[in-house]
Amino acid sequence: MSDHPSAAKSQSSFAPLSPRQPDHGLKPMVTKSDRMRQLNQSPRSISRKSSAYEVYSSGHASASTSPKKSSGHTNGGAGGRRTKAAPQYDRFIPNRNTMDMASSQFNLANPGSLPAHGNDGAGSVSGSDCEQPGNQTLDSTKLAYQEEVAKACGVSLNKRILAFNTEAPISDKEDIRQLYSRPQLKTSTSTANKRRILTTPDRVLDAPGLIDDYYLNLLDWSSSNILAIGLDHSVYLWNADTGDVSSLCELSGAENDDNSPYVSSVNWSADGSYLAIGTSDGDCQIWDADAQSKIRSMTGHQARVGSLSWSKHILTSGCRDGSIWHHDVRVASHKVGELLAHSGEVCGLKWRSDGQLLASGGNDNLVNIWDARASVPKFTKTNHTAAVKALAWSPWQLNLLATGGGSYDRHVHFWNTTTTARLHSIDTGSQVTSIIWSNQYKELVTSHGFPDNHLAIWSYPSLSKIVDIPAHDTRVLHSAISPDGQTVATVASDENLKFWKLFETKAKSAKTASAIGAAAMGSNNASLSAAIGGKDSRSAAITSSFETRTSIR
Amino acid sequence: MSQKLHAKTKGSITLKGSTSLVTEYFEYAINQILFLRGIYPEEDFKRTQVRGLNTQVTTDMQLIEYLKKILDQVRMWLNQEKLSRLVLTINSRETRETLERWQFNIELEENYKENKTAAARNENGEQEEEGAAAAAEISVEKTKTESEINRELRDIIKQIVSTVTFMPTLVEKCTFNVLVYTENDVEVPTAWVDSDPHHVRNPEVVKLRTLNTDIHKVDTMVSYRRDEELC
Repeated sequence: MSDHPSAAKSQSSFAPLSPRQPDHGLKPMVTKSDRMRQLNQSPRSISRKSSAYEVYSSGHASASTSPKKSSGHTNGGAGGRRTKAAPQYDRFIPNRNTMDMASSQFNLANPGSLPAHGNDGAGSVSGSDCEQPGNQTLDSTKLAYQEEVAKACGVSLNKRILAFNTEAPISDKEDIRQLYSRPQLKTSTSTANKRRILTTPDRVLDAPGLIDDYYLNLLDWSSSNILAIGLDHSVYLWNADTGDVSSLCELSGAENDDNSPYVSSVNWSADGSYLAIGTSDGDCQIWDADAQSKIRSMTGHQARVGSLSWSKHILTSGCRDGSIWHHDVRVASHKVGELLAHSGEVCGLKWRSDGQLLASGGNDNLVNIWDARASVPKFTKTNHTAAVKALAWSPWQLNLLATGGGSYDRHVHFWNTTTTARLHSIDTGSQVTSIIWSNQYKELVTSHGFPDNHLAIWSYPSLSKIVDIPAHDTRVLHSAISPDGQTVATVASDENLKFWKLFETKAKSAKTASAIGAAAMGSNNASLSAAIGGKDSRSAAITSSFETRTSIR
Repeated sequence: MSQKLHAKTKGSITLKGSTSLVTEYFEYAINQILFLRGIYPEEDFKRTQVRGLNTQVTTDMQLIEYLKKILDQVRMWLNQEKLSRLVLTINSRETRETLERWQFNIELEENYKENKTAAARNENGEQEEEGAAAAAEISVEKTKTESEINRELRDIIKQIVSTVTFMPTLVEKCTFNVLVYTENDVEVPTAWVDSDPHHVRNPEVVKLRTLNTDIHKVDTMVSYRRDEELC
């Protein structure tokens, strides 16, 4: 033991893997012949060499060239170095610290257990001399494999792997960021978009008695430029050309009975000559707009009809009980089809312009796409997490459908109805109450509820927001677009019907605007609310029949 | 024995001190990883300054309690020199598949081992002076200042932060698990069970810096699943 501490003293800074170094420390300038003599003379020194981490260690009989190489190198390199750093050899020396020493030892003891031994490791390094096969540094798949093998053989690697048994606590906090962090309302158009969009309403009409119900569809604009709106028990028509208002109908028993039926949906036929009216008692009525007379009544629904859509002679109605009926308006037995796939009120219903596909959205958060000939959905989409009222088919790409969800969903999804794939999604940040595509621009407008009650215009397909328009004081309920595609009408539960020139086309704008303007000015007070005024007691609201506000904020 | 050794190696770190340092490193590294990888929501963390380093530490009582239980046991094992590796795995909550694996390899420094044998000899009364002198010389020669260790610790935590930037985003909801590699003869509390190594499938491995306290040497590496689309 007596010589050991002193040896430790002198070798103290050497790593155990470098037994050669004392030699070089003492004789840094070993020449080739010295070296050879050493090799030939002293078998003891050879055997010591052979234990080194060296290339020629396995066969010193044939080592006439390799010692030269190696000694020459070490002369220049690590000779006499007394640091702890790994010695500089002419090969790559792996970092011992990153290695799984235990499994390496195991593998060396059982060379057969390694599937693909390293190319340099097997050949030149005699197994027991070397502690690690030199080709594994960070190859963790191999490490993993070795551990698996060791485990399978039941060989202890001299360690245990323990896991903390209890499950890590799960943070059950809802991620409230998505509720409260909304992007700032963007009320000016970006510089990239040169189009100027008026953010003030073109005109404002009163719409007293509008029912504040998200699930109804009470506004539609016909191809003959007549706007129909359902106000409580009545339907009014506003002629956009002349500004004339007329009361189309009043459901019976409206005067004093609270349980009397109210209008729950209106929809114009494609040619604009017939208006379909859905009522709260499940009736679907067809009215002739010119003659202002009811043509027929199609009863049968057990609950209110909240959505209607025409496809040629077929009127499709969505009911509160989740059923969708096709009515052939030409024949006496009008019911020609029943579509049952919704379990909640059907609040969104739109035929594609070619009449081949029907999209329906319900309070059960589903979107169903129906083939006109089938009575089971072509496909069902469950991505929305709230009622789907807003549905819109793209006017320029037939198979493109946009759907928007309610307050808990706030998303607009875009679907390719041919492949049934979801193309895009936008998180709008608030309830989506309606979607309208522009046929002039590659854009769409969405109307929203709490908290901003705004309209948002998005470009498609980039889905960048062009502008946010603070529109109403309360949530926007319904919207409709004019037949010329320039003006959007919105109505909110603040009982205002506002017209927005969102998609103005420069060439026509001067002419059309002046035409509408003149018509409206000329007709003066013959506005919507004036017509209603006689029956409605809220005369204060009525007096300001319409105004052309230049700024609302 | 230990008194003698400590007296002789004044100014150098003791096993206990090194253990608490290493445990502290684990604590902040784990907290930082849980924060950076979004295992827990951001609101559950607060910014704190430790050893001149700004780091995020959880404020969730349950999680604090959970980590404390683990680290207390780790400290005990480190003191007994039975712990060779600590692994933090991040796995999908749904499939339980391991997505990331942060591995901390712990090695005892050679010098410390030599010191120990020297000290053991001292106790036996053999070559007392010479051995003690050797031990003293070694420790003086190798002593690292606290600020050096602190800097190393800072550097690794910073490296963890920067590593996260090139790691794939965790899309699914994830949870974590702590594994330890111990000696066979270790006492195992009931809270711990034998486990498989939870290797990452198709991994990419990055080695980070080393924390060296003169007694413990902690190598940190992370393996994560290679992005299949890029292969």
